[in-house]
Amino acid sequence: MSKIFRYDFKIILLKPYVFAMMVITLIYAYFILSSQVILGVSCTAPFSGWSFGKYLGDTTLVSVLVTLFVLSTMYSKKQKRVSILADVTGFSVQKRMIIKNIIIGSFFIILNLLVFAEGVIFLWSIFGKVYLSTYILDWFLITVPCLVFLLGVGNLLGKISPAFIYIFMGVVIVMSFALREYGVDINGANYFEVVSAALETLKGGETPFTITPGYLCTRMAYLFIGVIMLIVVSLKKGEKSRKESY
Amino acid sequence: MRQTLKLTKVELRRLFMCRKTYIMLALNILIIGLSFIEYVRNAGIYICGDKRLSTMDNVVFPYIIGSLFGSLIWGIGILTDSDRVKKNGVNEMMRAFVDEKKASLSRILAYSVIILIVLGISLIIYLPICSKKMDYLFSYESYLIYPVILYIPCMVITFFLLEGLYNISENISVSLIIFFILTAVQYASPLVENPFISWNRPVNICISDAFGSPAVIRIQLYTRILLMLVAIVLWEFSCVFIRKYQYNIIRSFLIRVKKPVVFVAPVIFLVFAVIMVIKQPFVDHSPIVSLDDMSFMMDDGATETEAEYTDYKRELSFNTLLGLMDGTDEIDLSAVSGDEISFTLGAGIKLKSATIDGEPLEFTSYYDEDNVLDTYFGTKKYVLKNPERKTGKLKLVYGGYPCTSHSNFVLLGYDGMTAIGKNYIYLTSDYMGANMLSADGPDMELYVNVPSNHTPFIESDAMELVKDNGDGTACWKLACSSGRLLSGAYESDKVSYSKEDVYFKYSKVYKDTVKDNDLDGAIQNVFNYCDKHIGELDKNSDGEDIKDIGILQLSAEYGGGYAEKGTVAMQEDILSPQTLSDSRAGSNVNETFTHEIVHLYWGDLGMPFEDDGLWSCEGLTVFTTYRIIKDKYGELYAQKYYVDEWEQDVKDLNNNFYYRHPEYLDKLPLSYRIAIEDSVSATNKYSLMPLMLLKAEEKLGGEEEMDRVLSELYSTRSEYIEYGTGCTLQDFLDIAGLTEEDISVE
Repeated sequence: MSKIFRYDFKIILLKPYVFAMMVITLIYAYFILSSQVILGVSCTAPFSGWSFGKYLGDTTLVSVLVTLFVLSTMYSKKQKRVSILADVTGFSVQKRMIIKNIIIGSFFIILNLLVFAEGVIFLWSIFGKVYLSTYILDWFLITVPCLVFLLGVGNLLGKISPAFIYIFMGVVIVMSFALREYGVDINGANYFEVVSAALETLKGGETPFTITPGYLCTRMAYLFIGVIMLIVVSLKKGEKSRKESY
Repeated sequence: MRQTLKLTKVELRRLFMCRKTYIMLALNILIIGLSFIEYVRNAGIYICGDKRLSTMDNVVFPYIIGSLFGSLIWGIGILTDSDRVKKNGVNEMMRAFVDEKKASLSRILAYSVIILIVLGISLIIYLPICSKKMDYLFSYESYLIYPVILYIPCMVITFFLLEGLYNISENISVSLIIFFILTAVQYASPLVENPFISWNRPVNICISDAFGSPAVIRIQLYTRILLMLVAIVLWEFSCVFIRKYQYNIIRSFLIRVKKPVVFVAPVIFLVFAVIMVIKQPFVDHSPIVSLDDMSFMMDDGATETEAEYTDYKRELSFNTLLGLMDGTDEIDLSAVSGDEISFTLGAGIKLKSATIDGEPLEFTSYYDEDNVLDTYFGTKKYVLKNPERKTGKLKLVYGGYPCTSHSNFVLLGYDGMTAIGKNYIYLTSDYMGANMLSADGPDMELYVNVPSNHTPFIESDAMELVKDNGDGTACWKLACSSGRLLSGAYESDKVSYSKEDVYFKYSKVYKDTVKDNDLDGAIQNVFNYCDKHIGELDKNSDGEDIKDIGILQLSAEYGGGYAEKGTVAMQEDILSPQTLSDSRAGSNVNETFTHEIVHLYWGDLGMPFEDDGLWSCEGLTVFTTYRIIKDKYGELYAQKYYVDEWEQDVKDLNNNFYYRHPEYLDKLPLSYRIAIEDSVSATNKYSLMPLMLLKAEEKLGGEEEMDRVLSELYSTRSEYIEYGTGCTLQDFLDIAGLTEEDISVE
């Protein structure tokens, strides 16, 4: 089991381009911090939950794209050719899929944790003030639904064709820029900007950090859809492996 | 040579078959493209300066960035290729077939071809973007010439330099580190403005949209060729260190120097480079002095009268391609009181001959170090020897390249104090021929030969056309005593207002902008309104009454405007699309231009102000513009586009986190602090102050009362000018009889 894990870890993650994309994500995170967050989102403090949420959301867009790209390599032609050999080893295909998903999911979580740490260090070093509990809430609200949703949709589409994963990447980008005011973007960044701006116009001054039920529902919806899709994927895989065993 | 060309072909074919080449090519083109993005342009002010003009933004800046990053990309490329043979362990085998020097040169040539392709593709791809963004300011000449002189020499210098470094070190890391150090050195503060050492980072240049910048092209070309020669010398010398028979660097060197012929080429190139340094025409060799010593304020260089003349005729002609000026002064001397006649010539201008009635006169020349101001600007003093005290026709022939002085160059860097080009000629009086230090006589008759599409003038005085010379130039004349010479393809609009005429002279390039946006009408509105409500524009200059008021547009190469003798010279960007789209100054082009013209009354050209971050010339200028617009379009329009906008800006400012918590501002890095402070200061000046003035108007009881206060304030400007101070908010409050609390806005 651990050998399979190590093998897949090496095949999926130990690639120069994966490291390059990680570095690019962290550079992008710094760019967001130093150009937008430092000025404060919608006139809130740069270290407020709003600003940090917007930062996490914007950076998660890139980490989602990077993770989807890594996921697409799992379904590449080369991997399919290798899987013919792997399938005859007798190791459960479903288990291998779970291992692969755990590796990719961990990659996404680690990447987002690095982004989180980068943001906290940046704000701490400049302002000496951070609201860790709020940031952790932001992180969970953004990262967990994104993780489940991207694994669910990514696996489902990847099974049909890796090309669909690239199309889905386009959808993720479009959703993050279109319909901003509804806050339906998968990476959940727009809420922090739009709602804080709206509250600021209403009340003025410092806007207290709140999570609206609407936003919570959206995030839960992504989480739910992601779980459903993961179940669908695992069911399909199960049928296939049963057929193959006959 | 034939073998080198053959090798170049092979190297090129190899490069074209290599995927790395295409990646680097795409990357370089992409970087050039990214420079069109506004965010990148704003970030690039540290590299390219903050002059926002169309050619600068869309042609010069992308290729400056493209050259800088291109030199890094292609530099690493050529280094890895140089190292490739050694890395694969086949260098000794290769050297059995190919001469190392030829192989190195072929690599440089092959890479040079590739960068030509990069430039060609970039120029084609970005042509539609550039021509669309630049609109009527686009010209193919600028679009081709600046990228070529910025990009190609920079790359070729990089190739020679890196090949040279690699030949010596035979180590890719060492070569790269030296390369990075040499790139970083250009940003070290004492060298930052020096075009003679900036090899992959062009100095802070400024290109005019309307008039072109031939002086910049000349100095860039000259310095690029010079630096290329230096790089070639380095490369030629480095070839002596290429390892031979697997010996180390010293033994290889000793074997190679046995043939002295290897030094012929580098020495020849070195001699050329040294000659170019010594003979460069852009900076003179005057002694370096500092203007900190204020002694120049006391000494105006005047002595007792040495000569009197009855007639003074000067003729100036220009070589607009090379930027040279030739002049002849003919003076009918009627009386001479001493053995010497002294005069000065501007930096770079040399006296060729001096004769009196055809007989040559001896002369000496020196930098008068007692006169600090003259020495600072490189003005040289000439003394003619006339021991027999002869009178008659004194003829002085002089010429040269008007250049910047050594002191100015060391302290401020290279700046175009003068300009001679096919579209624009600008000379200050120092450069306009011999300045007689102590001779008396009537006004000089000045003849200038300028390209026939030019309209020359001295300050606000128009010149009279004498004849067309038939060689593409025309001769113009004017009787004048002093002043700057301006000449170019100028459009001159006569704007009449209730009392007199104003001449608005601007580049013909902006003709449609002026007509389409009725900018002449804006000038008329400002003068009509301000004359009636604020006061008359000062036309008196040193006790001399000026006939007409002239508003001139200068080339961007000349930094800053000035007001003198009824002439208000404004920077080129007064009409640039970037200025006229500034929403803080007005809601459309006409209103923004109105704002700029109001600065004739409130600002350095009229009433001086002490800027305290809130009270500045901008507040009263915006307020006066609002009043003019209210007069013209009615209260509703002015309320919507001015007062409401100011209120929104102030509200946004009050909500700004750093405005509410200034204690956090100090925690920010300096560049952010400056950016935020600038933004707060702009809102204070452009929005909060006008609102405060509006409140003052209410408190005073209406527009008429406010006009009385502003008119009284304006009438005191001569006192501020005399004492070199500026008007403060307290001065305004004193005249209005109000307190700061009265006009404060929440």
